[in-house]
Amino acid sequence: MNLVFAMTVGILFGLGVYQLLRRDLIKAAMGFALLFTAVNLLLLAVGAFDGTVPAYTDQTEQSSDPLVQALILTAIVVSFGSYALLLGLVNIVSTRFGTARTDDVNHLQN
Amino acid sequence: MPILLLVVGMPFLLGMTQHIIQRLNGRMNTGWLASGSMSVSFVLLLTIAYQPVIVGQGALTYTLEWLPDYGLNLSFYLDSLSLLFGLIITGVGTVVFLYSGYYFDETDERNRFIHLLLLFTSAMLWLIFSNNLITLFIAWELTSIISFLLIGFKGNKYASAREGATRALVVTGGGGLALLVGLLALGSAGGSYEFSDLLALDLTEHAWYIPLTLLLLLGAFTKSAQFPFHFWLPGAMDAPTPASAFLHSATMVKAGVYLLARLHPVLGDTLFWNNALMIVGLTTMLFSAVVAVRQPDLKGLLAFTTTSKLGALVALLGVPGGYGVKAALIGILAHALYKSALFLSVGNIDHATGTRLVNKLGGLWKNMPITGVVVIVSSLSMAGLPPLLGFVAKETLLEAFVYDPLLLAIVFISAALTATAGYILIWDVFFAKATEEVHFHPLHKPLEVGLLVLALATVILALFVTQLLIPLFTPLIPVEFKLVLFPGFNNVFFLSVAAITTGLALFFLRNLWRRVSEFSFNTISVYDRLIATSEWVADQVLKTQNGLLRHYLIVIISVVMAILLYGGLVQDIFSMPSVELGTFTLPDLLDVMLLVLAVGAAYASVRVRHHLNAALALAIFGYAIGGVFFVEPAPDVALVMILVETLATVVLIIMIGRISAKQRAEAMEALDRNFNNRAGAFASIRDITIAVITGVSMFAFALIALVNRDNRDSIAVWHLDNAESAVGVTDVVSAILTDFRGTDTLIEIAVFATATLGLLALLTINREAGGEPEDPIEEVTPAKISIFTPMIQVVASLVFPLTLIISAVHILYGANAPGDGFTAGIVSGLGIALYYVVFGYDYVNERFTWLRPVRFVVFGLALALINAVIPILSGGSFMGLVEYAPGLDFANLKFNTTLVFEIAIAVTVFGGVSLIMETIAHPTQVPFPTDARRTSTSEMPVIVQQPESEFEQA
Repeated sequence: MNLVFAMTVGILFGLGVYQLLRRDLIKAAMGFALLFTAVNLLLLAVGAFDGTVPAYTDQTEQSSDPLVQALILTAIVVSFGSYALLLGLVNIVSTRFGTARTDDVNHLQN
Repeated sequence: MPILLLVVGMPFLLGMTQHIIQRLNGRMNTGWLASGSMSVSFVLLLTIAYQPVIVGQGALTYTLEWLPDYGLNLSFYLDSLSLLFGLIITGVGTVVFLYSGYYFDETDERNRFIHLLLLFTSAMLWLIFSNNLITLFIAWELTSIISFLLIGFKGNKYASAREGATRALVVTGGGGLALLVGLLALGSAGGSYEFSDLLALDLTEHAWYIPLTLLLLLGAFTKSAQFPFHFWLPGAMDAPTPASAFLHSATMVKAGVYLLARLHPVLGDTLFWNNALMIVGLTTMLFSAVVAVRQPDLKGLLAFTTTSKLGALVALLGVPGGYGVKAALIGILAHALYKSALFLSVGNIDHATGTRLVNKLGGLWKNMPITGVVVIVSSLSMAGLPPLLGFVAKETLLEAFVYDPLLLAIVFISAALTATAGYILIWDVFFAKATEEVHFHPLHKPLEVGLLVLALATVILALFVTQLLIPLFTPLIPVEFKLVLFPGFNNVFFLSVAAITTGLALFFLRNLWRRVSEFSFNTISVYDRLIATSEWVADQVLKTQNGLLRHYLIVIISVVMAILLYGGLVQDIFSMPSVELGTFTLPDLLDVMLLVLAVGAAYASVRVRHHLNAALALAIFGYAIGGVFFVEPAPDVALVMILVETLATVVLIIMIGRISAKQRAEAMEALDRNFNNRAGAFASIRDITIAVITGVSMFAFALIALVNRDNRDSIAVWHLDNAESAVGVTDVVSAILTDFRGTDTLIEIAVFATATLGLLALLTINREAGGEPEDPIEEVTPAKISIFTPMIQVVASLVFPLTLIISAVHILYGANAPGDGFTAGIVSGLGIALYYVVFGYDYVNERFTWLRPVRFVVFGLALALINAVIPILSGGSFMGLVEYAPGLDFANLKFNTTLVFEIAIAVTVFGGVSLIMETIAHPTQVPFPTDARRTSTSEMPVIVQQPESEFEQA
């Protein structure tokens, strides 16, 4: 299973980075969503141990790692907030520069 | 000692609450309030000043620990020196604030000015009472920054104000950098960052003595406008006059002198120290005095006499054996009093006549006798006539240099020229006949009357100099000394009289002097050339930037990957134990299926052209990952993931809808063009290569992490074992969120809230301004969509109450079952989102008048914070566990801080989600000015280069 998880994480990162480098701002924003989730998946996979039951104190069998779950949980909510902000930025760029193409937003060039 | 905290903190609090006070009572003149608080601080300091503990050699320290391990504390040091400065700041501040309340014609300007000046006062008091080198530095920089803001106060109108402000900031800020390094070196050399420890040491023999002292001197010299850095101070005269009086004569520019006086016992009185201070100080003194007399602008004249006096103070601290310290202390006090009074008087003159030019003014005595009295007293004090404090200062100054004829000659000439400047102020402005008719309009009484206090202080302090100042100065002066108003007819007295008379003689020859002293030497041109050079270098660097965002991304990602690979990823791969495939269970099969689904959906989201399809593919991807979480088993996470994914998809689709179809089509075309030409092909191959390298590296990284992970040996086990006993919660994830790592959660909801507020700010700027965007979007925002049948509407209106019930259950029983405050917030947020999607923005706004998302966010965060602080009050720690109702046994609930925290999380998240929905569902697109694309930097209107007056004449 380790191998499967590692491969999935790798593929997702590759797809996310590729998406991020597209010339389309909307797609680039979607790339962020892929990357957020890939990180969460990585966190879940590297948790200290595999469990078979949820992390409750009254379990007798080996439970899953609660620490990474807590980290992922807040990370999901925070990344949602930043995702919304990111989409807002894309929106602003599209109204301000009149384009959703990354390469046309070259305002740093004087 | 908490008095000090009050004295330092009060101006800050007043400054920060000023706009609230203004809002409560728009016409209130906060000058009075500020002035009152200054006078209270003054009296408080005065009560400490003569207590035996201060007078008898000692100093008081008061420490609030912050990071004691790193030597970072908020600690105060109170001795006669800091008291002297504290009394000057609060005393002069009392008058200046009163004055500022009436100085400005515009209420807005007045409020902004008093706000800044209050913040400055706090920073300045912090600087002089600081016991810690680092906090001293922070306060030092704060005063520089506020000084910048004050000099540039009229930067929207005058180019010279902007230039002066920038110059001052570059010089004092640059000196600040040297000071920082110097202070750090001083701290390491002395083994402590507290003055209270350092002052007992003598570091003059230390190996770092010369470089360390050089850096500290550089900081002090730039701050106190010493030659060749003096030019920023005359340039700072574009600040409103009360700021010039307060910052640029009485207080801030003396910070350098303060530092030198403070460090004199530790580093002072060596050959290096004495020579450096003497040479720089005396040069400044003579040069400025020579230049001062020929200034056409009264403020320029005062500025150069100020730098001259600062030079004298610096030189005095370099007199061997500490024989100059007495004169320096007296000089600081006398100068603060007469110079701030003179500046404020010039402000009055400017206000009343609309000009500050010497050759235009004259005969003001009959119009403004009160200001006239103040100017006469203060100018004569500057000139050094008895029985004024300036006389004592000049006498002691001459006395300190009497041992060396050359030095004495320099001081004598400077003193004579300063006297000349004083006579010019009195005669030319008030008594000489004006060349042309001087326009005059009457002043508010407080502008004039307040100044009398300063003039009176100059007289009283001189008359009672022995009684009032000796107790204060005794601990600071290393040698035996006498201090009386009139020491008798000795050599020094005759020298003093000679200086005053020479000044008078020069006064009669002033027109000749103006011509003689006309030489074209200034350091500003050197400064300008330096700045131009650095700008040229910056331009060269800028040429490496092509402005394409994607290229920056490529560089960033490549560098990260390079670091990862260089940092040992390759070795780790080869030294890794062989991967065990292990047993394959049923949940694993589910996992594999879900992961395959996820990867497929992710690929689809990359591959499909149309944005909406990609968004749907992304949703499938998210749900699949949610499923993986569920199989793990991590039910809390799975729940949040699936809910958030739904919400994220809604937000994404609405956002896509807000971008016009034309732009979207263009963007999609940009995706296709890749292989049509060589450049495009190259770019595609490059992007794919980077993506593949990233993917492979992350695969390797993940594999190493997975194979080498600790088994059962981590802190996770501790959490499992202690959740019930320490927190009383069986759901360990909840326990970690609300207790073990509660502070993290607190910060994270704050981050989430900030992100949503940021979105609000982004999409609502200019919303009220109206106007049409240049490329109007077709409306696909929910407001106009009418595909929703009554059936769906009924369901939607039923769903929201239901989500609230579910949320309540999640909050109340989250401790022992899947779900918690986050899920509760998201679930109820989804309910609201459904409302927005089905009924549109206007309906929701009308229907739910209680729905003010920002208030929810603020309330949630405030609740979380208060709840976190309450345990401290009952003796626990921040975010500790407190049972609010221990006896209550209702429905198996525990009413404690954990529960309240869950509620706070839920309210914040709900508020944030509603805020996002409200913002993006708003039917109007934000219009931007149509020329936004062309004007990259906002252009400042330049009206006048050199303001002759701060007031526009009617």
